[in-house]
Amino acid sequence: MKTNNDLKDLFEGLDFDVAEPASQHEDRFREKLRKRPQKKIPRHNGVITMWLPVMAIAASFLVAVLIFQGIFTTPFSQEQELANVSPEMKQTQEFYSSVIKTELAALKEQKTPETEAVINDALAQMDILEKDYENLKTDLGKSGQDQRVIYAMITNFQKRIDLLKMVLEKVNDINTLKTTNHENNII
Amino acid sequence: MTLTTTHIDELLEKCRRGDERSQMKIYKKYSKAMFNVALRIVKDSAEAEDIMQECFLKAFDKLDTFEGTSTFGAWLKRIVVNHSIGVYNKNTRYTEVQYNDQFKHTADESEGITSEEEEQNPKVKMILKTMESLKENYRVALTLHLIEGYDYEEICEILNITYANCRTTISRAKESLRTKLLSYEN
Repeated sequence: MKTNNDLKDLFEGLDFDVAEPASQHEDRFREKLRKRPQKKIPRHNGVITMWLPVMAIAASFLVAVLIFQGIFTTPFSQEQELANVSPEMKQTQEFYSSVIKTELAALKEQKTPETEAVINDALAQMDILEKDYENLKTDLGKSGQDQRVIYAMITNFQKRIDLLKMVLEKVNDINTLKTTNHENNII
Repeated sequence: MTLTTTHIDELLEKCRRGDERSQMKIYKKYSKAMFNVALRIVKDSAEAEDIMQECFLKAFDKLDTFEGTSTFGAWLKRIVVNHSIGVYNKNTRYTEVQYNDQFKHTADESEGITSEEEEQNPKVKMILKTMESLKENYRVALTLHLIEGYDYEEICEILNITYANCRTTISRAKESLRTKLLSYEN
């Protein structure tokens, strides 16, 4: 008795597709393909018509959003950040704002009863400069990113830093004056 | 391999949209194999061509239900096999009288093909001829099992018979084929 696999092995790897379809079978098929009830094409259209309302809604939403943006952002869009001008300007703005932030924090740390008056005055000046800067932002939008406005903005940053530096030095002076006085007393 | 599958997927996508050129490409690619599958079951080339073409049309219509769990070829082949079995059952059931005629007719035809390709693969021809000399239900079951490569479960489903019945039929058919092949060899 042979094993059960002998037939499997016999059939393995053989190509049994030996018969050829009769000639012109492709043409006959093409004809059948064309003759059959054209289910596909109306269905194809059906898919589009099915999506049409959805797409219409989507499109009208898009238009609405665009108009909405157009109406409500124009007054605000006149106000522009320095960062919008160019990548370099963005870096500049980030640099200055970070410096001002740290300096301000340092200044606030130095707050003592003796220096309070100076620091408060400096903060008031800073507020004025900041208001100026806000005005410059609107100017930047209105003028279409005029170079002069950009320079003014940078100068505004520098002024703020200079101011902070000055005040910090002053505060330091006051504080050291106080300590040296004490030291003098000790010595 | 992946290249061809993606290629076929693309073609099928176009077929879904009803593109005739892609449908013809798919037809050209699979028609010979599917024709042979049908022919091995119904043993009449005109009938086999009809079945094959109907199955292609059916497949294009139902392409949405093809989920890609198997290859497209296997899916299509299953459609062809099921349809062929349906036609085969109908022929054996209702045209008992015509049956002999048809059998003769097909036998003649297949002999014509045999002589054409005899030199190419005598072994395949020999096997097919031996298969044809088997009892009808043995022949169909063995064709499905050994040539089309379906397992017992699938054959039960296709032939609508019980698992035990299927196993017995196939093992007896194998036995019968073995003895016939041996007698041919000697």
